[in-house]
Amino acid sequence: MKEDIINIKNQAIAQISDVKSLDELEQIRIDLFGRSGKYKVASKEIKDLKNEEKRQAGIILNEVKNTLEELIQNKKNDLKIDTREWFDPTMPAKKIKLGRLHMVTQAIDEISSIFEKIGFTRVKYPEVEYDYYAFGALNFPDNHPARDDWETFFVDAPDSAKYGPMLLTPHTSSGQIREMLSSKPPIRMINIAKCYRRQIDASHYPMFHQFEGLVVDKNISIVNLRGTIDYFAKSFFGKNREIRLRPYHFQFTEPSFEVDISCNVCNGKGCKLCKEGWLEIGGAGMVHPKVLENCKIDSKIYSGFAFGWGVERTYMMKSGLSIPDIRLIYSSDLRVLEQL
Amino acid sequence: MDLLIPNSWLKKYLKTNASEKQIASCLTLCGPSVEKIKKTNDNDYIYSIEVTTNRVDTASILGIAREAAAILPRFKISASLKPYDLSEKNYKFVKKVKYLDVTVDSKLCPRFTAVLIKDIVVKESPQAIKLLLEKVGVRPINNIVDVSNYIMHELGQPVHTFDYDKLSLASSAGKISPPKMILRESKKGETITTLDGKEFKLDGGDIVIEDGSGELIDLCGIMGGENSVIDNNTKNVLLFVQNYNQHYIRKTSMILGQRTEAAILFEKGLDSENVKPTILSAISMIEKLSGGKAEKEILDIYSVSYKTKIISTNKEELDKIIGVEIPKKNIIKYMTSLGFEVKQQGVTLLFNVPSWRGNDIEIKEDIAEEIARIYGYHNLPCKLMEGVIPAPRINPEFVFEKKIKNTLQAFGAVEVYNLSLVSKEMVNENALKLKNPLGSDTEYLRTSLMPSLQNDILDNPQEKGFIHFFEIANIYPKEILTLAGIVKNEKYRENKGIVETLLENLDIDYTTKLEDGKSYLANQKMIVISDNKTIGEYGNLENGYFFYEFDIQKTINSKKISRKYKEIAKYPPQIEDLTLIVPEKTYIGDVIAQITNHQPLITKAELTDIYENNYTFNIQYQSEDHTLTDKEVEAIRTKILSNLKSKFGIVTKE
Repeated sequence: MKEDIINIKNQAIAQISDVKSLDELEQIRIDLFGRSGKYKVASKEIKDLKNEEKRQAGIILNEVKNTLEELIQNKKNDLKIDTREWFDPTMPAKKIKLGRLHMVTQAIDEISSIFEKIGFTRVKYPEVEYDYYAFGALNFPDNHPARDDWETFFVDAPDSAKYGPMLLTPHTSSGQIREMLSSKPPIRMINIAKCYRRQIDASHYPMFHQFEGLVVDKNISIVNLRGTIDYFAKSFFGKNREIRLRPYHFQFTEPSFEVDISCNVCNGKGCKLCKEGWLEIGGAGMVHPKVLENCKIDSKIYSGFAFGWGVERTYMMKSGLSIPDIRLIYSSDLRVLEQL
Repeated sequence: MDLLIPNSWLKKYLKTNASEKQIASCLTLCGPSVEKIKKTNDNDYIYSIEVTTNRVDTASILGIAREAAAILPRFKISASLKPYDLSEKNYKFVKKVKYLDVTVDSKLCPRFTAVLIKDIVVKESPQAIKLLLEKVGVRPINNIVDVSNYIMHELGQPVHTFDYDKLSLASSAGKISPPKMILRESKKGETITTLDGKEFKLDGGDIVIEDGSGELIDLCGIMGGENSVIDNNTKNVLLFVQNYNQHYIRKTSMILGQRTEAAILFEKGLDSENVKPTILSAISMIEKLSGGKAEKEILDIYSVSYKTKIISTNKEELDKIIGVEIPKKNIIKYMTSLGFEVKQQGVTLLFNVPSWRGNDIEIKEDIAEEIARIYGYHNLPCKLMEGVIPAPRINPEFVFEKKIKNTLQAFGAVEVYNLSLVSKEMVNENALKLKNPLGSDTEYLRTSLMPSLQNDILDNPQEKGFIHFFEIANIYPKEILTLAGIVKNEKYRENKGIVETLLENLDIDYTTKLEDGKSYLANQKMIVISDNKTIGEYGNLENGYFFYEFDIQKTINSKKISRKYKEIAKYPPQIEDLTLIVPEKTYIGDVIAQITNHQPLITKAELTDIYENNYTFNIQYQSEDHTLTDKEVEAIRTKILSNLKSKFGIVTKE
């Protein structure tokens, strides 16, 4: 039995090596593995053997089958090379010309989708605003520097009797007031919009974008602000990043914080890019009770928190673009835009 | 505002074993942020510290020492404020003095102190003083001026000195009488030359001091006058420590562009209680460094003294803001370390606010902030809100905007964000104008996105081929969210294809109408109408570019094509190409409309080729209920061709 199989194998090897055409090869394959082929016949004989012999024969049969099939396939490929059509898959690709969405659009999409997951609703409010919404209702004193001509753009239009001078909103925080006046708690808002300030240099452009979060409900505390910012930071920058709050000051929040995120370059050890292992993201705080009252929300029942950060800055911190001058973001040079 | 604090100077007020690194990181977590530590050649360290505008009380060596003394113990590092002795008992603070005749407007100056120091010798300051001044970025001048700067950095209260004899000369006019000083608001047009030699013409409403003869001798809170400056021959000085109305100082300083250290402090609102220790420190230091002797009577005009503010709250309210429970004894400990006095009345906690925090502590939330920051924000857990999620409010604008952007991106368009502020040439007559633009090229709010997009093309001369830019932004005077795009490509049909494919992808049911418009070539602009309302436009501009513009809101509200499922036709169509000879100046749009609109059995008529005046159309004939026979098709064709002939003079090519 064993010898029979070895013979079949040796004979086949000799035949395959002599083959000259694909047809001839196919005939050898059929003679071996076809319904009444030599191999098939031999394999049927196994059933008459005893246990141990049966097992031995099985192993040999399998081995012979694998060897022969591989030989036939290799031979087939050898024969084909001479007859196949010429094709050059190394030709350079002709790529599809895709357009490009602006960096700010990409950032807004990413940011809003993170906040939507934890129940925030994206809203939008006017860019051309009134003093009341941008400052007054946000607890800015009358002579606060932000209300100066030096920091905020004012529109050459008559003042509103009720809302004061017309201006270009210098922050998305004006949206807090509009949101609280137009809806009741619970509020979870994310307002992403253009803002304007009278400043132009390598790190400031008179037009920029902010995203503003506002939560107002019963029992909202600093712990919730930390939770929300931590959720955002881990979703946006990566799960290994940590946040920290530092004491800060804003007119419309009390307490107020500056938010930092751990540096991903040095992993918090401190390097050239960061301050002792931390990078500054932006401001946050607990909504000032006067602001709640200005919006007809009872500060004895409700409390809230808010944060407002620069879209460009936050996105640049993540992307690793290292843009040397923020004005480049608002360039129309395709060579710049295509990299952002 | 940014401060420089040398470690060696800080240790004059702060007793601690904390390392420089520990001081920096603890302060940053719980108080003013230390941005940087720099080591000096003499093994000292200089902290760069950012102080927030509400905490001008920390803008000094003493202020930072106070913070550190309260913060470090929370990190298990012992720290305390060193007591500093001021020999008050040697002096009398009085409302009138013999050596100076003063009139003060208390609205402008809530506290005015001055003292005459006689027989001083102007010389260089000791090396130690000069070194410290250099470390905080101040150039040493002479012992008198240096004391002013030194004390200002140490205590956060500006100090000024006049040459007393120059004042006397200015106002005594023959008679022996004390020099006169009238502190008042400036009048428009008055001039003063400050001690840096700059002459200013004032707008009025600045705080100034005149000498009684009309001559100004001090631009208060900003800089002294040149006419009374200390020089090497000065023998007698008038030491001057005031608190000024912060809003006046801010205005003057901004208008004149004089951002002096003194102005930056005054404009934040200073503690009038700090004036007294400041003048006492300054007297003692001047006496020591110059050999002079101060008068025993110090002029002190203090109209409204500080009345201790009391904030009343309780532990429960404070815990609710912070989000964790903080034991009452710790609340008391933290607040006491910050200089507050805490009293308990049942559950109520009464916090007496120290004078230096009088401007910034108003409500219980301020107290919560102090407790939470000393407790350490980093020690608070992170927890998302537990309440219910607000009811959904979907703004269709965001969804629509995203769809437009994604579609245009797929078409190869590049999105731009242009500045909303443009020059007068780029807007129409209704434009909103800024009162305080940065320049004339950014004076107006856009009334159309077209001019910016045209410039975007011009900004890319290196790009020889196809360019397609688009932008979604507001235009004014009414805030209207607008989509606009510009294409540099001569192939009109391709450009029009961008617009039509976009509208199709947005399911908009629309028609177009030829209508001339500004900036477009005559006869080359179409308006897009849906539900009888114009929602947008497109066409060829005079400069050769293709442009399109849509009102987003109107487009959202426009009529939409039904998306209802339609059965796939059961019977196969018959398809043929017809080549027609079309006379010149025939609108092909009308020809196609004639073919399709008037024959229900024609399901498609597509222009596939143009050669001279030969136009080839691919025509599809199809019926819903049976397969059309050749005879039926021929009948339809004949009818169409006769219509085309009679209407346009079109014949088939033989």
